[in-house]
Amino acid sequence: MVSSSSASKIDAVPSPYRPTWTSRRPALRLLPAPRTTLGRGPFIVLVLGLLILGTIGLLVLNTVIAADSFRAEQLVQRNAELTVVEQELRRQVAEGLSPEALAEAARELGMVAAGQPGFVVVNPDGSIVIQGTPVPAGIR
Amino acid sequence: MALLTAIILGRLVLLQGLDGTAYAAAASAERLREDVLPATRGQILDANGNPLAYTVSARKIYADPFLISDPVGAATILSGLLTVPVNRLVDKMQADNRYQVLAERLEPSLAAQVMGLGIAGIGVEVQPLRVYPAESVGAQVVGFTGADGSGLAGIEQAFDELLTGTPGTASYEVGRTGAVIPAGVHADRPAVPGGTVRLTIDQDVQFHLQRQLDAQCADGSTENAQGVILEAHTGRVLAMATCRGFDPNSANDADPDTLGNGAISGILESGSVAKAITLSAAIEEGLVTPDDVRLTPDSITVGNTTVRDAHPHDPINYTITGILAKSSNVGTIGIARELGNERLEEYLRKFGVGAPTGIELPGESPGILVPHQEWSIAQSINIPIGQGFALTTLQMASIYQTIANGGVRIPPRIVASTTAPDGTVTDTVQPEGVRVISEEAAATMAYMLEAVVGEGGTALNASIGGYRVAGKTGTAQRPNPACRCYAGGGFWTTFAGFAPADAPRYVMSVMLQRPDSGVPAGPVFKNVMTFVLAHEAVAPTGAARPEFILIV
Repeated sequence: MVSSSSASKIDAVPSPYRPTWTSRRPALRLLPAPRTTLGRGPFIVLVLGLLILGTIGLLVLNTVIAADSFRAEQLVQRNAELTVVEQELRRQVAEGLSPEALAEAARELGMVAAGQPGFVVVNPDGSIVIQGTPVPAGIR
Repeated sequence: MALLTAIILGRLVLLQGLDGTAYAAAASAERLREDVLPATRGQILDANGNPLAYTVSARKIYADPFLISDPVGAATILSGLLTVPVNRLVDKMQADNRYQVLAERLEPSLAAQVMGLGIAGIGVEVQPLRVYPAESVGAQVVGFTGADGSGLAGIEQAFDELLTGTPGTASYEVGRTGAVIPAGVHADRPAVPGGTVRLTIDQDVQFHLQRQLDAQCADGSTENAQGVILEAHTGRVLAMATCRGFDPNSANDADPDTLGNGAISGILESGSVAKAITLSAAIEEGLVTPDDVRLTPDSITVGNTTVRDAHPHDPINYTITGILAKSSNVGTIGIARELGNERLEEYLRKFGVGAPTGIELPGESPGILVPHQEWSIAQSINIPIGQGFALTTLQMASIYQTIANGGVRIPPRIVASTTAPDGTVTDTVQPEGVRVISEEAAATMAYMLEAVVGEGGTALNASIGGYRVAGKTGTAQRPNPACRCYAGGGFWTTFAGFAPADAPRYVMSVMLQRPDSGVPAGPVFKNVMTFVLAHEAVAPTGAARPEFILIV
């Protein structure tokens, strides 16, 4: 608006210093400026849009980070729980493997210690020799 | 205006440029928390990788008496879970400080249950707990740890540095409420867990040995019983024990006298077991051969000291083998007098008497052997028959390991390998052997020691059906610490030997300490060695036991 009114104003007032040779050339006159901007409205919308998008983006990012940190915490907790379970299972295995526990378990099953073994020695010609005197279990 | 700007700008430069770092540091220090991440203590394993000691994470429940409004109510609820009497809990909850440990070494699940009750003023702490799954098996070797987790005995003490590891730290930023700031600084320096120690001990053999020794000590009169089993050609300790051990899971409550490792820290006089040293020396020096004959009376008097044979007899024409097989004191002293004190001491020391073996365990005794220049006449005739010098049960086994290994003594070792935290395994290098006697002399000794075990010898009770066994019995008077004399001190009965005699695999020494000399150590050797030979699948060689000429 401003630009078009000023242009018509200039056009309306002839210059007192107009040189004579200018008559051969077309008169210079200001054209109304092209409407390059969309006005303030869209700009504000754009800025606001960016702002909102940015805020939402930040919010999403924060939420994701927070959610991840919760998940990490949960996993740490789960890990700790599993460690406890693993530890307990390990303890059971280790205790079950101890000679004292094995001896006790075997005794409860009615097992007795093996006697002295005999050894079967196979000679190169295929004949066998029994070395040692095998003693039945339970007799010492 | 310009002045104001200058002041503001100056202050800005001061704040941001010069003091900036200090303020930033103060701010981040306000936010930054650092937790110590404890390093898990390493494991101790037996030869086959069975765990003898490892660490788990346990829980400790504590109370802050200032925050507990109803001590009796809280104690009543907790008593059952913690298995602590109500009145003890009430006492603790009314104590005049802000930290009272109510229960320790708890399973994490139990601690979670307690915390789930939500009693104000009750807290939980993580506590590393050392577990010894085999309980008393090998406990004297493995040792135990103190309240602060450091090793106080045995391997736990000797390898404390390797086992301990390096604690780490976790740094993170927290908000005002103490909640972790997710996007804040996180810097973790993880803890480096301790390394692993693998022993040469086999827990099955160790268990069997301990059970046999405990059975001896359970007879009411045997005060002590010790045994050591070595691999004949490597000097590795397969098992080592003293009767009446302890459970390292509750070392605090154990009788302090049972916490040591008597087989390396206690000393004894070995008696006739040491005749093997005297005879080894005489054979090596070319003074005697097995079939040489010595007319041997039943007593010998030097100066005013008289030594007799165990049983009275008319003078007998013993062969050298016979002197050993019948364990004649008089015959042995006669040979020792041909050898001389100086050479006898030299061989005693070469066999390892009087010096620690260097085994990887704390508290080893070197034994006692005074230089021959200081020997009295009584000592010079008693030392050849194993009285008047002292050694450990481990040294006693090492002497016979020397003979079993063709005359080369390999200082015994009990650690097979160590594993550093980064996984590098370091196998224990077998110590360089000490040539004590020649291979021929060792073979001759093995032959003569076989005459002891079996028909005609003094140790029929140590023979193992189907196998050839070499060894020697011993009986020594024990000095009475009360009067510094032998009266009332009781006796040591000993046995040391190896099997199979003609292809030695395992060496074992046994000591029993009793008020009388009536219980021989041979049967303990027989019982345990029978188990070892079967357990390690050692077949008999099949060769027949030679005929020995003992008396001509």
